[in-house]
Amino acid sequence: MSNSQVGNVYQQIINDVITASRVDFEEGGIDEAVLEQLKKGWQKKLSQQQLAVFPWDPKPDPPAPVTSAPAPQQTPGPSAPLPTANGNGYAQPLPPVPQAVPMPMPGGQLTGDTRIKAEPTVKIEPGLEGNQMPQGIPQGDPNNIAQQRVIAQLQNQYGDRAAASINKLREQPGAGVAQPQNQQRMVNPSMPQAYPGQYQNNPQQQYRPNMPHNPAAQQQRIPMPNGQRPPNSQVDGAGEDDSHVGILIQQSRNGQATELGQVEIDSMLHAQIAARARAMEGGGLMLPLRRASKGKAVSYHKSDPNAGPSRFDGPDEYVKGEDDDEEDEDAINSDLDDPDDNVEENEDDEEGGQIMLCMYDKVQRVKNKWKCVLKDGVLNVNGKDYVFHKATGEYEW
Amino acid sequence: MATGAQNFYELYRRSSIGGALTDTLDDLITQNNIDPQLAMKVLANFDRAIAEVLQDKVRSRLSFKGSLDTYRFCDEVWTFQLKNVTFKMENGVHAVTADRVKIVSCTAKPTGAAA
Repeated sequence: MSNSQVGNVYQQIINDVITASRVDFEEGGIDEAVLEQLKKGWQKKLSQQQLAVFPWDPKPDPPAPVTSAPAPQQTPGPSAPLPTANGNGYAQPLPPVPQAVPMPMPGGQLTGDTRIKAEPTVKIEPGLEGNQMPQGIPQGDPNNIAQQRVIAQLQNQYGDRAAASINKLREQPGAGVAQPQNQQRMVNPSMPQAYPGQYQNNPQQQYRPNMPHNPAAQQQRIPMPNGQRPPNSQVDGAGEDDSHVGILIQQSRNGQATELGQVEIDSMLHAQIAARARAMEGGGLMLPLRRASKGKAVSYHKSDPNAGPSRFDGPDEYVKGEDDDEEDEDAINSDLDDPDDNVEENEDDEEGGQIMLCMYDKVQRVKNKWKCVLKDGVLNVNGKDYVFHKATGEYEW
Repeated sequence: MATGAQNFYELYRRSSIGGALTDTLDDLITQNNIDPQLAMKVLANFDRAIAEVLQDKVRSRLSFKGSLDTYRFCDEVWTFQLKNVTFKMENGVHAVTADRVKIVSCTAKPTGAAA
């Protein structure tokens, strides 16, 4: 038995496993890089436990910081100066500032773009209402392009036989435009002054920032044009998204005109999704009691300020369940086995580190004296690993 | 031991090197780099590799003494819990002591039953 041998033995095991698994990886169509990742991760985990001196230890030590370095680079993500600034260390406080500032900036830039785009359409079609103007820009082009592509493909594939369906397609854009118009008229009453004003007269809109709703109006206006585009270029009923946006805005207007920011909308959505997920799991029946009660507490906090769209599965019952926790002694249970079993299990867990795994050749007992002959073993004691080919043990019971 | 192509004990998966492999495979599965079936194949390869290496490459010997706390023999697997154990290497250079050690031991005879 020796500890110095462990490194070489383990390396041989690792190499054998990697070599043998290469075929399995190829059969599974997994990239060789993943196999290498497996080997590196395996060695790294062993090195972290400091079980012994491993032959690969000198090598992975330099790579280790390299592999950990890309992680912080990925989290900042888009901002290019970060990776170079990271080396300095003290440059890290800076990035949050540009990150925080650009957040409102793109909104302003986007609105600026829409203003600029609105102008030419006003000149081209002065007879139409301002509301329809912004629609015309995003709607027409993608719709026509997609439609032309579909028509061309149909003609290529089916020739004259496709004439009927092509005619239908040409009729559809009229209907396609009509739908969003209706939707917008439904939505517009909920969004009073700001919306038409911004598109009708550009100079006026520049003087309007005095309005108290303006920041909110800008935030809302950004999703709105985006939401309007899909139904025109898509035929598969993305219109629901529009109605959802409209509902969110209406609620905010009716109820004290509270402005729903992105975060609030996201939290509402999250609460709803969480509630539905719990409903699908049998209302939390499948969860451990602790987790079920935790999840419910969270949903309470989120649903209260939002006037409860996520509260449709009656979480009250779970609160009662919590209280019943201590009364469970009356339930079908045997209190004979529980405490002892737990003690034994705990002992087993604690000894997880102090364990010998091996084969036995012989185990003999004379009265209370035991003798055993073991072989091919791995032993972990006091945080170190040992391997042995043969071991003899003597102990008394 | 090597009776069939696949009859190797899964016993060593509980060791530190087996645990490290299992953890790494778990990480790869959660990252969707590999599927669980492939991980099982890798673990089967590990069962065979560690058995062969321990059998063929390791030549060191060990003796130990202690007091037996509990013993269990089930399905040809011996499980001992020892207290106040002293391990001695064959060269006698150093001894290692531990207050508690658990031994899990499968039969070395090729009965074919995998633990």
